[in-house]
Amino acid sequence: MANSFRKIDYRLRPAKAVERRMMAEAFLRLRPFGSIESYRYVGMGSVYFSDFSLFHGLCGFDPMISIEWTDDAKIQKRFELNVPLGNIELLFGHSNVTLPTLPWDLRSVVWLDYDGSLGKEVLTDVRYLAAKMQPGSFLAVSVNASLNDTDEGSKSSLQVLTDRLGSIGKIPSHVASAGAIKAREVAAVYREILTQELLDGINDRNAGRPVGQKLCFEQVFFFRYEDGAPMLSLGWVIFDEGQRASYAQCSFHTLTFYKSGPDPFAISPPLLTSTELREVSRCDQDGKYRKIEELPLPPSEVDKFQKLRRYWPITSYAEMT
Amino acid sequence: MPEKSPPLESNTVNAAPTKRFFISVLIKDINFMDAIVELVDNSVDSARTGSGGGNFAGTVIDIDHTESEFSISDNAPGISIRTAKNSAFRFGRPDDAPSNPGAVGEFGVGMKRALFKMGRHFVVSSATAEEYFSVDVDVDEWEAQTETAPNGWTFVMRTAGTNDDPAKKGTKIVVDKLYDYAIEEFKSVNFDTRLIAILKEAHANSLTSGLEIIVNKTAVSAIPATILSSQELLPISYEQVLDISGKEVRVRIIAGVGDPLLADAGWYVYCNGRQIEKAEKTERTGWNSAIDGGETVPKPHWQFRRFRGYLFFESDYQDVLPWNTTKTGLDVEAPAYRRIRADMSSAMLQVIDFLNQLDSEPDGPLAASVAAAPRVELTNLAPNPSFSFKPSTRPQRPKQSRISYLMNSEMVEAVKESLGARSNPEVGKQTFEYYVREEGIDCVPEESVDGQ
Repeated sequence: MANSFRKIDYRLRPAKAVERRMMAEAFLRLRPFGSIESYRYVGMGSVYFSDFSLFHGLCGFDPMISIEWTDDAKIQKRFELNVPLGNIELLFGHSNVTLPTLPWDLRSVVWLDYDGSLGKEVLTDVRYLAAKMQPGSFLAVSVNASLNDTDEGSKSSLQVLTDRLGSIGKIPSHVASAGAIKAREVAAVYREILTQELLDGINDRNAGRPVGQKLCFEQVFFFRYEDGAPMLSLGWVIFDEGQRASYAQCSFHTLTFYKSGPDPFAISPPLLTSTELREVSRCDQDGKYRKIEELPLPPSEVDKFQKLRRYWPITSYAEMT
Repeated sequence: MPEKSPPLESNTVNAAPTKRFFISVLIKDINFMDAIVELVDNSVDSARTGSGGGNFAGTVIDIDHTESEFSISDNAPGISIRTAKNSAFRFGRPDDAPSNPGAVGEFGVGMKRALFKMGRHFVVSSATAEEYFSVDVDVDEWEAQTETAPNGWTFVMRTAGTNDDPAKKGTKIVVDKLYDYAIEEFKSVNFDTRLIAILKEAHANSLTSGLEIIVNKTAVSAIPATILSSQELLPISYEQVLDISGKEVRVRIIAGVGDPLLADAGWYVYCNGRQIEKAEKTERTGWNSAIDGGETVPKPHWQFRRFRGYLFFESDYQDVLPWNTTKTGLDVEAPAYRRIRADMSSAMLQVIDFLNQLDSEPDGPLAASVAAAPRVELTNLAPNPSFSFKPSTRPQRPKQSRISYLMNSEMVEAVKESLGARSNPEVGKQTFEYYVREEGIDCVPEESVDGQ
């Protein structure tokens, strides 16, 4: 979250845009727990505040809090200049420090949208929120899903991750015994570590609570995407065991991107022009207008679009040259 | 709990313990991981007794768990029926219990406390070369039994007999009806990682002497501890024998210099091969006194990040070793430890004096001695009563200085292009060398400096 807006124009990341819209739809399903409009949203909005604008528009969250890690007064003014809504409160400071300053007696949707990799500061936030979030709340975490870093020199992948997490004790046993992490396994390993941290926090919170009133959580989504850097996002609903029926009423499992386990949903934007996307969208199943197969397009790209169509951003930014 | 008290004499008060004291109270003094390590200690003791010393070749300790059951088994010589009946399951070690020279288990609480810590049902099965038995304890049933006095407490031996296959010896313990925290731990994806990391340190000595420990099919491997040692940098390493109330305790002290890692700096203490302190940097080991005259608030220890001290206590009489009952720390009042404190302090001051000198000349000849010294395993150190060092006689690298300055980025890019340099440090280096060359400055060393 620190100054990443200087490197990335978040509006131009199609996978991220799709992810935001999918998340919004997941958040809307929280209604059995309480009115969506009454939820507080806590995020890391960058200067673009894309998530804030979208979530307020679709979900009606109010109030909203954006955390930014900068102590530069000039940069802080730039954030203030870009705030798109009056109900957004800006908090400047590291999330490890700012999250504990918030009251946590409100149902909240929190999206810890880090642009960095998984490190101990991420686990600190997850552990804190596991201890504090109200039942019926939603926690989402996004991190860079790679282990490569030119600063790490010749260290092994396991050593790099151990150093970032501050302790070998956070590494899943099968990874520690294997002694290395393959690039394709990184996202799954990160999911295991994040889920365990959340579970540890919930277990601590449940210590001494009677059966039936313990807190629990369910994973609702697990996205993988790449808008330049490989990213992953995980989303969990935290609720009281006694609210299991409310959770069932949310019907998260009917979401096309619902993933409760270790297999991610890949958000792969299609390589199609705007015209091609429009044509694919106009084709319906009956083929009254035109059959998709008739389009001179690679089926794999069409498939990608079909999986994301409902969530594809309908706005576009034209580059003037 | 229907536990009847014995009739009191008119001038006595009842001081008898209750079962609850052992089942629910004593377990508060040990954490879950340490309870498992206690069970490993038992197996190590058994193997040590069987091998008549510290050779563990061929001994395997196998730890396994699911989310609802824990087991530990070994192929050590096992527990005899006589020992099981008379002492192994007693709460506290009886005075007439058979001695177990060099063992880790001493207090007679370890195994029972560990089992009570984990769950409410356990089965201990053991076979020596001659016989076997198993004891099955349902803690709920045992706690509910009525009896009149603690000396009437018993567990039931479910099976016992002659071992027809002497090759099949060893002990196996299975625990189930686990407590919630035990289930949570066993479900954790990183539980084995944490257990392995603890075992690696707690039993480093035994692991490097041939002991095999397997945690859920993953072998635990330990790296032997090392310290920097050369002709120019000789660590302290000597052994002395103490007589503690007629009982012999051998102590080996090692102190010297290691890698510059603050987290690893401090004292490491072992009793009969079991690590009880790791990187200890408090007044318990005299650290503050040695560094700042006993200030209660520890000062920054950055320049002492290379300090390493090791204490190895060995004795056939475990009661005189300076450990607490959970074997997770020093008993600083133990005579064996108090007798060695002055030597520890002396060793520490010698090394700290060297580190202060090293800190004042980070690029000097002492640093060269440290840089050149190889890591040597503690077991291979030659006896040496005092820390000795001398400046390196090797040719020194020319002393280097760093130059750092900021320039306009566009100018830097232009110069970079002009020089054909690929990085800003290279621009700095080349422009410096250009000046030296063009001005004819007569100072060019044989080896060019590394520009940064």
